[in-house]
Amino acid sequence: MSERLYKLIAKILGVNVSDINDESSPETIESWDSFNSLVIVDELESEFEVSFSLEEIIDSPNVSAIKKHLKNHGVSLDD
Amino acid sequence: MLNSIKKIVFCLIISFSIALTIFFTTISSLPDYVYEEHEKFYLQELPNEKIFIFGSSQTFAINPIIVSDVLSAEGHNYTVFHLGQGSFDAEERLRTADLISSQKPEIVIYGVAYQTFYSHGRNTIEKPIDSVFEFPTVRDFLAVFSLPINTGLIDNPKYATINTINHFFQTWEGKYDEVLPRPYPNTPFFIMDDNAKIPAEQKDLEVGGRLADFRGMEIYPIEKNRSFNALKKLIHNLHENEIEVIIFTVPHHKNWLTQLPEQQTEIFEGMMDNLEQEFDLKVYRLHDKYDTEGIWIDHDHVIAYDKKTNFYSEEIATILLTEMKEK
Amino acid sequence: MIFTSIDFIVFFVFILASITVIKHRKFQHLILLGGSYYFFYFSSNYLIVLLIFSTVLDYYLAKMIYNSKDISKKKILLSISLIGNLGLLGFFKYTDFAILQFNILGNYLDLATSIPYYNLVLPLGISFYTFQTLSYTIDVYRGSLEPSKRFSEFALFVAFFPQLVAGPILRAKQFLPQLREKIQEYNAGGNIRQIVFQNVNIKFGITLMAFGFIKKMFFADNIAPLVDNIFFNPIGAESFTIILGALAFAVQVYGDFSGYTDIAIGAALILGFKIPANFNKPYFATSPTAFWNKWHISLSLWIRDYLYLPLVFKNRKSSTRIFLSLMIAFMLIGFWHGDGWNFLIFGILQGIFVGVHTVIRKNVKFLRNHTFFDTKFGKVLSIFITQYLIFFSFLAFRIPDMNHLFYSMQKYILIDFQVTETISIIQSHKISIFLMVLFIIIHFISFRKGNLVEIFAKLNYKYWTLFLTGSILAILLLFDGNPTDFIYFKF
Repeated sequence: MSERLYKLIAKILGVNVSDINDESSPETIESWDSFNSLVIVDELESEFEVSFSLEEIIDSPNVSAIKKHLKNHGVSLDD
Repeated sequence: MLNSIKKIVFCLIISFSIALTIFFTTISSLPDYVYEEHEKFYLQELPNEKIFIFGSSQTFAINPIIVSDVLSAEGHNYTVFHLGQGSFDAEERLRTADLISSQKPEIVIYGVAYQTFYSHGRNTIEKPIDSVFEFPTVRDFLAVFSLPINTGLIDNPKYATINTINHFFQTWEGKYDEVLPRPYPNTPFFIMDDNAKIPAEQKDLEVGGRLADFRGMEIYPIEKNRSFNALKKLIHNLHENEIEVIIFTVPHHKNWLTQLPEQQTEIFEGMMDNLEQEFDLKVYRLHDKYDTEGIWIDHDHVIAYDKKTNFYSEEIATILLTEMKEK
Repeated sequence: MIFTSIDFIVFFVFILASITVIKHRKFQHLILLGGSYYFFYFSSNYLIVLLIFSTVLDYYLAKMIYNSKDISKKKILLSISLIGNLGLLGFFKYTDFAILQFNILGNYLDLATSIPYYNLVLPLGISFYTFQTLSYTIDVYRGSLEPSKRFSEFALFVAFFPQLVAGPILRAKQFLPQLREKIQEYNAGGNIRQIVFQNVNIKFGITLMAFGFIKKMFFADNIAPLVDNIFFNPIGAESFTIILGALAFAVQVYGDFSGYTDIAIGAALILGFKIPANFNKPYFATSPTAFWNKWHISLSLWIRDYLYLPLVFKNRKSSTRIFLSLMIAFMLIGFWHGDGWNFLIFGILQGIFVGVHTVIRKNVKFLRNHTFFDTKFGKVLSIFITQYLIFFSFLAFRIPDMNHLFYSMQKYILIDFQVTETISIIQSHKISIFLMVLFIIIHFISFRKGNLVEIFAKLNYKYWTLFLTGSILAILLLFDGNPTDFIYFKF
């Protein structure tokens, strides 16, 4: 899932996949603004077929938090 | 870690010490160009019976020769000097207090405008908070100790720095020693200005017009007003040297006066009352006395070199005569 | 108490000295709390009861919300917090404005219904600490935060003096753990928001404070006369004068606000707290949306998390809903800044800019990822267009009078190409112009070379002392003895 996740986020933000890791966040990536945050949410929901709650969306300070939410929705971490 | 904290504190102490030393040394060794210019005048031999007129640009239209002519027609022979200067408010004038006193004029007559007491650079009316218990501020504490240097500059270093820079540019451009044309005899600080003959367009002075609208600078309440306190200090100083002081408020355009916020009018009137009470003098209120049209450059400046504004000089003479009769 | 005064320096040194002397952790926090209340009392006197009221209210409400199992009860408790806090904020900030509008309307309808003003004084920082306590109660309500177990801890979170007056608006989640002595490590990097320097906290903090003082006292305060002169009565001014004024004001407000924030963050850092940055080179933003990620970050994040996302969550595919939610959010941001129609206009303009930009990005996919915007020319063009719009909206922020505002806006857009007045203004404000240009140059260097504060903080002690000496001297030589109120102070 990690690879899928990184690829998806990288595509939305217009950066290289190698630039994305667990620590990546709006603080470390210039193009990760609030609009793109919502785009990421949308794409993740369709890609992994989950539905995030408001609290989860607000509580996504970085990629590793997103991973945690996905895990809570039953998305397995192994590729 | 403790070592680095010690080093940091040490660096802070050093930098403050060096900076403050350089600062005080610079400021106290900076020539006070304005003071120097005034000194040049006051150190001359001047006739014995003299009257000094003070104020800033709002007093420009006063012709000291007309004043002295009216006085001598009533048998009072004085040399009248018009020592007003543009943008000169009470704080600047206070710095030359000792020079003024050294000449021992009989009378000093000072014209003030609303602008004289404008709060420097601020344009919001401060709503003073009623305090239950006021803690002393560091500034109050420092006010007790006077420094052995020209504190006028310490109080406003920016003024000193800018003056020095201006002076540098002027010297560089070769303008400093130019002898400048004066508007009238015995007027050493004003510069002749042909524009002062031209009144503003009437429409600008109508209510709501460009010049009649009050906006921007406002007056601080009495307790916090630097200029007003400086004026009081000046009057004190002059009284101690047995120089009579007369205050008058300069003519203002009625349309401007009518749309002042009440708070501003109250403060200004309060200031004048305060002066009358504290110094047992009379403040001659000319600010709302004149509503002739066609003589205004803006809301508090009337045109100069024009018969139409001779009344201004004559009014000053009348005030002086009134005061002399009461002696 | 304002930062740029001797009173604050003395106060701060005193607090540091007390904390150093009193080593016991618990008492150190009490010293901070007591100091913060003194700090507030110094400027606002008896109004401190409002601060304490909000603190007590939200502390106990949050506890009750957390302990309650009944969702409707939780909702009621949250509503009490919202009404209590926003009610106070609204009352103190907008009553006189409301009365003014009521009187104007009454006049217009020829009714003799004039009400006198209350002439209310605004308690220090009320707009900031109110939002801060609200974020706490809302977070507890949402289940993402456990309420504080000790009142003194929560009280310090609300009243912490570095950020009490003008932000950044803190989140309990970031601050309380620090207060409980857990400090997280982050890597220092180019665009970081959170400043972390483990062993050089103090040096970095002092450097940051020095930068803040310079930005505010040396630059912003000395550019203010130029701005005030231009907008004193802009009717009749040339276009270039208005544009110069907008540019100067942009520099002034940035120097003012980011300077103040730097002092706040630096002071907090010296005290051992890491506060997120509130600015990130906003004038190099390539779009209005990006601008709000870089300007007053804590406020825009607050609005995003507590207003915008809840509004837009249910139907975030809908462009209309997104646009409307953005408009509401920005109108609120505008009005938060002050009681005047001009602030509302500021908010509306920003809402339109961000709204239009977002909707286009959402629906016109080819523009979103077009490589043109990655080219140097594309980026520069984006920056110019964005800042042109931002400075335009700043006119609304600066000019309270509607006639003046509309005139200025008109002149800003429809340029008349006259120059005589502009040149004469430049000549009579040489120092302000010089400082403005100098600031822009330094800011640009900082943008290219990376965080100047880091560079200076890393200097060896000899050069660092030189830097401090130079800064203090520069501030003293242009010091005006009458500390100008920092623009956001009125909030």
